[in-house]
Amino acid sequence: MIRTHSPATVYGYRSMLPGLFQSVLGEENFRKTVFDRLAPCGTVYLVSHKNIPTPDGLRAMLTMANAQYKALIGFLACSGMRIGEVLSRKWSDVEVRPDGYARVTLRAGETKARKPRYAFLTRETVLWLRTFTIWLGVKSEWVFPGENETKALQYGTALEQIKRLFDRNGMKDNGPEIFTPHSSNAESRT
Amino acid sequence: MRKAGLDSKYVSAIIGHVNKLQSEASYLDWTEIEKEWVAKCEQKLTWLADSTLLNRLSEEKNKTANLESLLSMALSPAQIEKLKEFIAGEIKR
Repeated sequence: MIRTHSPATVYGYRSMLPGLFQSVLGEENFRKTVFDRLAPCGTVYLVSHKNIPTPDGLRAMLTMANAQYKALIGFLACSGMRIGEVLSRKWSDVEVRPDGYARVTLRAGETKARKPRYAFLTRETVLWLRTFTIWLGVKSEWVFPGENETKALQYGTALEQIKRLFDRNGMKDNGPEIFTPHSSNAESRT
Repeated sequence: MRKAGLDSKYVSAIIGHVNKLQSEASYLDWTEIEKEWVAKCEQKLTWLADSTLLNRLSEEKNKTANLESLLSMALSPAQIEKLKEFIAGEIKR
């Protein structure tokens, strides 16, 4: 069998099929027991390991990045937020404190754990965000607007640029050991 | 954040880690978490040297402003002028 997707992806896709078959074929023409027999649920295990960038590696990335990605990487690195959570932030979620640092609000429906929470940004990151906004020259409700300022920056675009910065600074994927924007979430735990 | 000395429970709360601490998520004191994060992590999560210098500069400016306001309460305008002249003379020496 050709393996094209990770076990976790296969597990996720497989879980969607019964609902699809029931809707398309009708409940009387679909039986879960037959489905389970013909397409048994495999074991789910992780096939990749997220590498954590070193502080020097992170500094190298920040030094190389433009205003937009300096702000984005800074945001990821000091808040420990997931990339999707960062890209979906609006300016109304960011409260800059009198001391210069900021508190970011995440509502329950927007988080993986389905619990409301707050994250914090250093004064340095707030400064980079301000620089980025000036550099952008366009007002948007999104902290990281996309090409069209009425929409947020796309995950795929951000992923490609951040991967390039990892790569150019010597942080290359090595088999199952990978560098991803999610590495900052793992980094923040340490 | 843990390496900076922030409580493990607070780190999990900030990054939204899905783990056994879920049961405690409703009882978090976010004011305390924010205070601890500022005290322990704000400086440690500042990555570039020029930002560190900017932070120090801003702190020094705040200290100077506080000192100036204190002096303006304690001394008369003439005394403040004399003090400024004295400091300028000391710096020249």
